[in-house]
Amino acid sequence: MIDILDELEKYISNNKEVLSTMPVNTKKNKSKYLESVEELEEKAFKIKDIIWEEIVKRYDRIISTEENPKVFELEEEISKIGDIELFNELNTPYEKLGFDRINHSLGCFFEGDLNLVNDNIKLFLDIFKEYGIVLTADDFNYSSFINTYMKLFLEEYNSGKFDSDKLKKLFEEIYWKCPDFVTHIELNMRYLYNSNSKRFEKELDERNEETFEEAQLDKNGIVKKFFELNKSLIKLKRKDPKYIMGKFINDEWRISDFNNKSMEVLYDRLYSKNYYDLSKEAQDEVDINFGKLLNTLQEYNIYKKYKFIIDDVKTKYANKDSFKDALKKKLKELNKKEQNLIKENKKNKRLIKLSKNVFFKLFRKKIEHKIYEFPVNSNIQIKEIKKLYLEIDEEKVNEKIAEFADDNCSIKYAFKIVESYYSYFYELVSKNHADDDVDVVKEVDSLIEFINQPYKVMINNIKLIEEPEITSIISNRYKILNIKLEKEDLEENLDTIMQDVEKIVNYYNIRKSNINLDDVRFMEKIKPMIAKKK
Amino acid sequence: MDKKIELTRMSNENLLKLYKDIEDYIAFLDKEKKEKGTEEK
Repeated sequence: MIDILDELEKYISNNKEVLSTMPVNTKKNKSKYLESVEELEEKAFKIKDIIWEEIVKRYDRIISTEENPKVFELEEEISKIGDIELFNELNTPYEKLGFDRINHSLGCFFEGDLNLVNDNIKLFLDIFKEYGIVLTADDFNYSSFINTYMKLFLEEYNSGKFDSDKLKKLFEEIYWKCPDFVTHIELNMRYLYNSNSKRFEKELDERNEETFEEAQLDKNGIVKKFFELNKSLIKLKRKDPKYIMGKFINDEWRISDFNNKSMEVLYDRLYSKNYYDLSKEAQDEVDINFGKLLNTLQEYNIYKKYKFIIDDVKTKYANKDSFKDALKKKLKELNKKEQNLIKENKKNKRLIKLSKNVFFKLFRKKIEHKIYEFPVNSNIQIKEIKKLYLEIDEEKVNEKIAEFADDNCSIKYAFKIVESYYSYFYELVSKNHADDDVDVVKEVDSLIEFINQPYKVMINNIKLIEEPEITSIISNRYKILNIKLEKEDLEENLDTIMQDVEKIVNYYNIRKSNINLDDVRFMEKIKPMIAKKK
Repeated sequence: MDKKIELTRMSNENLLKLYKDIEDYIAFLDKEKKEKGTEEK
């Protein structure tokens, strides 16, 4: 059978030969020659289109590599469990339902815009509504400004829109009269949560009980199940053809990075025996150990990066006896100040009414002076309350450290305590990065995600009160497994080592994924051609 | 039609080679057209 490649080659060379024999000495001959060229070109374009059609078909098939259906099944099972933060023993519904994030976001108003304020108010109202608590404008009585704003906001919220020009105009108007207006919203929300906290606690407990009943597991069982399912999902995803192909499609990986030569160099650098002399089974075992090393390195990296959090918890733990009753006292003080503020607001409302009453004409000047002075006095009180709330945020963490941390507390649990209190956690990270250009929200979120993922062996075993030589522990652990890893490497070249080990792990997963490397090479070549044609 | 079936059976490498050959051939024809066309004028 003649190969189609040979056939085309022959076809092309024949045509070239025919053209070369054609005379071009006269105008008529040249014209005939050009006619033949055009005819051949037309045919060639048709052939090119057919070949291109096949190329695109293959490319489309490769880039639409399907995911292992078990990935979806596992994701479904995990989503059924829902948010495991709801079962967190360390915090309250205020943190679990995200009120702390809402209020913290409002506290950062200068970094945001009006939409951020309105989105957060809407979120706040949504959570209350979901828990059966319908708020009215009268509930927002921290100041007359917020009361006025919420009247309009709730009107719009209840009609399904909350971003009208009317609302924007009102915000502007109030904002210039009272630049601390957003703080009023934030604190009023905190007050409303506190007033309804028992209801949220009861409702959330009931909802959690339903989840446990449905899963036929207790709290620890369901959290364990969540981590086990996530372990399986991570394992499956890392070897999933779609996930792997996605890495190549998005240019995160290049097939040339995994060529035999560069992999040989890597194994030679990191493995003390000759990897290629080993049996297939032994090679797999080595690669699985590299997988474990990668997890350890990631844990160490996080430990190193966020050691300031551990140090902070250690300091608090050393002073835990001094935290006794501090939160209770602050909450009592807060309650007194808030009650007073609300009472003063009511009094001011009455004065405004009186000032319009003709029977009090004689006292009008005195009343008007009191009304004039009120916003300034009220704002002083609000600022004191805000300061108190920030202190309470820290006292909550202090109290949990006093309650839950002991000499057996692991580093992971220490992270978990701080991670359970978003505002405090944010402030801690923000303070540590005061001089860097770091996205604190991103930092905080990535640490939360890391802590809530499985495969935490090292930080789960090292105790908070210990000062271990972690680099020596890691190095010695993996030297036993013939992995070349010096303590100094970890201290000086952690990023490079992590990249190299990750490459070995990825290479192993690619081989186990049954992905066709020839398809990857093809896709990499075609992708720029397709992009050019678009 | 037969040729299309044959194409689907080709390896990725050969398919790309085929595409390159036809592209080179088209480039050759184009060059011929331009050169001889200019001479004709």
